Amino acid sequence: MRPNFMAAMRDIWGGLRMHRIWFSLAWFEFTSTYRRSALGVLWIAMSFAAFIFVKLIIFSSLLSSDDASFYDTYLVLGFFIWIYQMQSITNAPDTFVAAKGWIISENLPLSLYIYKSISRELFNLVLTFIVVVAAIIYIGYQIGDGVLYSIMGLLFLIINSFFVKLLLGIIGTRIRDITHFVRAVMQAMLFLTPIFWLPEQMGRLMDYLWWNPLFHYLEIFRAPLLTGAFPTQSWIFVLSLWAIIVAFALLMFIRFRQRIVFWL
Amino acid sequence: MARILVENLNLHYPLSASRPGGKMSGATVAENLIHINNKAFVWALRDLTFSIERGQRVGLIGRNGSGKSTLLRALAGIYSPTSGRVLHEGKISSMFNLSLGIQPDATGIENIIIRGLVKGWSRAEIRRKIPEITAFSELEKVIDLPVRTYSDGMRMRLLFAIATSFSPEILLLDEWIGAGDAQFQKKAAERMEALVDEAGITVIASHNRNLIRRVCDLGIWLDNGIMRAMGPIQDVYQQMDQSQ
Repeated sequence: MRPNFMAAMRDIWGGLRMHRIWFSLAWFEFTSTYRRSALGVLWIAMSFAAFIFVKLIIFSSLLSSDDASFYDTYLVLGFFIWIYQMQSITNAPDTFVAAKGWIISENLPLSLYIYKSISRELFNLVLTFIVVVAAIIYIGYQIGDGVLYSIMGLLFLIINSFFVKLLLGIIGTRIRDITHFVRAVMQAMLFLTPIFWLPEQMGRLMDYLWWNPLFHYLEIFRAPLLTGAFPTQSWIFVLSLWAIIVAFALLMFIRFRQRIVFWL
Repeated sequence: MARILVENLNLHYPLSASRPGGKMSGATVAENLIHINNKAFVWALRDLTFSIERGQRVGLIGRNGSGKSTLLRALAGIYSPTSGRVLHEGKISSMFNLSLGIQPDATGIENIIIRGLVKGWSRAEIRRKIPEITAFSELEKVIDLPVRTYSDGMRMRLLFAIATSFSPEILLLDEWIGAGDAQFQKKAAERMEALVDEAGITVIASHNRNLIRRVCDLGIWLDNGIMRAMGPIQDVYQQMDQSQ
């Protein structure tokens, strides 16, 4: 166990230090996806913009809220984090499978492929963030003074995604059904997570919906920007869940790291 | 200084998991099957012990599914031994398959950069190497196009040029010579000889006897994961032919 533990830690740390490799891999993958289109990566921002534009029209008129600009901002911020989380989680079980060609031909730390997919997703995040800023300025909502709390929340989500990818990546390589399972679950979660609706509107149902982790992943970013408040409950929830995910992810990585290549 | 040391190397992998890049045929699998705690494992490499010293060029020979590719990957550190150990001194460069370790949608230049970074070179060092790699692979006109548009021969030339350009001390090649015309094969053989002159090690797995005879001085004959012989390449081929 002990040497395996050290090797696993070396893998995670060594992979992080090879930032030039994973950043370049992510960058070339990112740019080559849109290489033959005229507008290129702008499509990411434009499709996101189109999506929230349509949602704002439909849902704003559906819910005659007293404070329309609050609800619109709520929706934009919620959907922004949702898109990131959905990409991050649905890609997770494929992390190693998608990198098969590299894993079976180069002796590199496995964590490198996790860092690669995270940076690939962050490129998208940056592009959609520009749309978010533009949308909030357009809506004219005065955001709360919890910007620092929100940045903390976003950083937490990025760190969290490493361990989610590690855990789901290992399981998903061995059990290929996981990819499809996660995709199906995430589709349902879109409606079980308060993005289009407000928790207050759900009444007693919220007692159950409160246990949806994605709600808290959203809250730690969204609540401070909306109201300036620090979402203590949500932080307790996400940190507790994080500890569990980290423990399982590391245990599995220590145990199965050398076997992953045979499962591909 | 380049050196490879293999001691009592055993490698099992779970039968239920499909092994990547392998060509183990049904018949060989059955012979190699072992059971541990009711689970089936393929015993791909059995108790191998040998060493390869600087300046040696080794040909791995044997039938399909005898463990050549598995051994190369174990030497590269991609497969961890089930028991025993593999030690190597020196920077390794490997070329297993024309479609592996390449980004098909990225350009030739970008792939040179990626593979250079993977080998631990800085961007400045890679940039200095690009003209030489482009020239050696004879791809000057298409180096800015996505690799997806290249023919097999062009990919092979690019990968071989990259694999040999970043002064590897240990070069591992698996069945790479299928593509590429006779003229390029001659160039490739010369370059490998030059690498060996710089005190490197080359290990090639191939069925192409002419190539192995030309490039290698030593041979390792693998049969069902067992090393049947190691020695001067002519002797090893002779033993292999006599046993059949």
